[in-house]
Amino acid sequence: MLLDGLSFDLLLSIALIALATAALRARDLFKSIVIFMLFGLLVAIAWVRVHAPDLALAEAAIGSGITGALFLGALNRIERKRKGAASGRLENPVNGSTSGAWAVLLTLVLTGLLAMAVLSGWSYSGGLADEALSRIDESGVVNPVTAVILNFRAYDTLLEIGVLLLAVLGVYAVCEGQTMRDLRRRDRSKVLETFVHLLSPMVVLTAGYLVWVGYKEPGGAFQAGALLGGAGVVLLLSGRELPLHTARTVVRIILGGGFLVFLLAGLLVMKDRAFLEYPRASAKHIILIIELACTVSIGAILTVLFSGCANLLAAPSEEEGP
Amino acid sequence: MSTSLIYALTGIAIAGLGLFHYLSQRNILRKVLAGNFIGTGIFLFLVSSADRQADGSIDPVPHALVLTGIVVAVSATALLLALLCRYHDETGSLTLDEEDDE
Repeated sequence: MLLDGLSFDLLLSIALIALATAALRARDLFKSIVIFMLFGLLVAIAWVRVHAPDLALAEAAIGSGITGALFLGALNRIERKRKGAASGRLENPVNGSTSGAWAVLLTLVLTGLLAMAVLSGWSYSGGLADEALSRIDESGVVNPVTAVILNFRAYDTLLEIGVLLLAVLGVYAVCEGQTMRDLRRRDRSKVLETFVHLLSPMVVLTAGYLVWVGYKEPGGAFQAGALLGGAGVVLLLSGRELPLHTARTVVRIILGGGFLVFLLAGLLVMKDRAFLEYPRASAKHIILIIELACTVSIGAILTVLFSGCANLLAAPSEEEGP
Repeated sequence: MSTSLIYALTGIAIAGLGLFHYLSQRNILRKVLAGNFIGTGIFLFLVSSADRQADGSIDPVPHALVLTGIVVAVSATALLLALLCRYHDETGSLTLDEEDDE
């Protein structure tokens, strides 16, 4: 065979390290960000190679898609402001601070120690796999990753949705009172319009499928939510004015809904068991309800996060958005 | 040399690259980008460590940690970038003032 698994892994690893170096060293920030997005796509392939298809789905949508869009949105906004102030294009010295030697030393020591630890005892097979896999029947789902996220370690996930909400609150607070950039007329093209018309329903359908299939195969609330968030970003970029301001009650309900449903589900089972310890018979349904609510919330949260960075957070207007 | 070992070392290398640039860059946007590379490197390392059982079974706990970690990383990035944009709006600068440090 011309290209076996290990040579592919080596090639991919070299490509990943080369792309990381290129992104971090490029003088032009725009170039850095585009290389970062390409890096995200290749990382998604790496996830498949280490048997993590759940992560590949999330990484393809978030790592290369939404994070890249966030950076491009922020860069665009900063350069726009720079142009107003006539201070020219954004080029930066790659470093030049006096802490360079310390940075090299610290990095070498840390990575060296980590690499030594890995090389000395990699074949050790400990971990929590046995505990998780032997009790998978009690979780109500078949996909072990979903079982860990929404049942065995549901407490972590609940707090993590809380972290997302906090980030959204932070973005709202930081972006308060800024004038919104108007994309509506300038960037509208027939091709983009048609594309968005065709894409949006497909994304919603795919997200619904990912949530549903998550109980037995790769998928779930985070992957589906990331997809919805991506659709939100595309809608915003195509000039739709999404009603994202917290003055609308419906926006607050959608953003907080995932956390609220999760919390309520955890509390309601507490009549005769511990917090978030679902009864075995109804665990599957409880998990599905939580996942559906979280999917919508995560999608909305990611859209708001992008709109904050790209200066597209719309103040409430009189007429309803599309 | 196994697949998981290759990706674990790659993850360490990427995290190291990210850490070095995080420490040495002065532009905050570049620091945030470097921080994302540190995160991805650590995720890669962590998930590789879930794929080293002798019987080929996968430890789902690191997968779950990293899946939530990816989403938390993107929200933290968004908050940092929003703060940075506001900072730039107010001061016109993309670096923290270093005159006091030197």
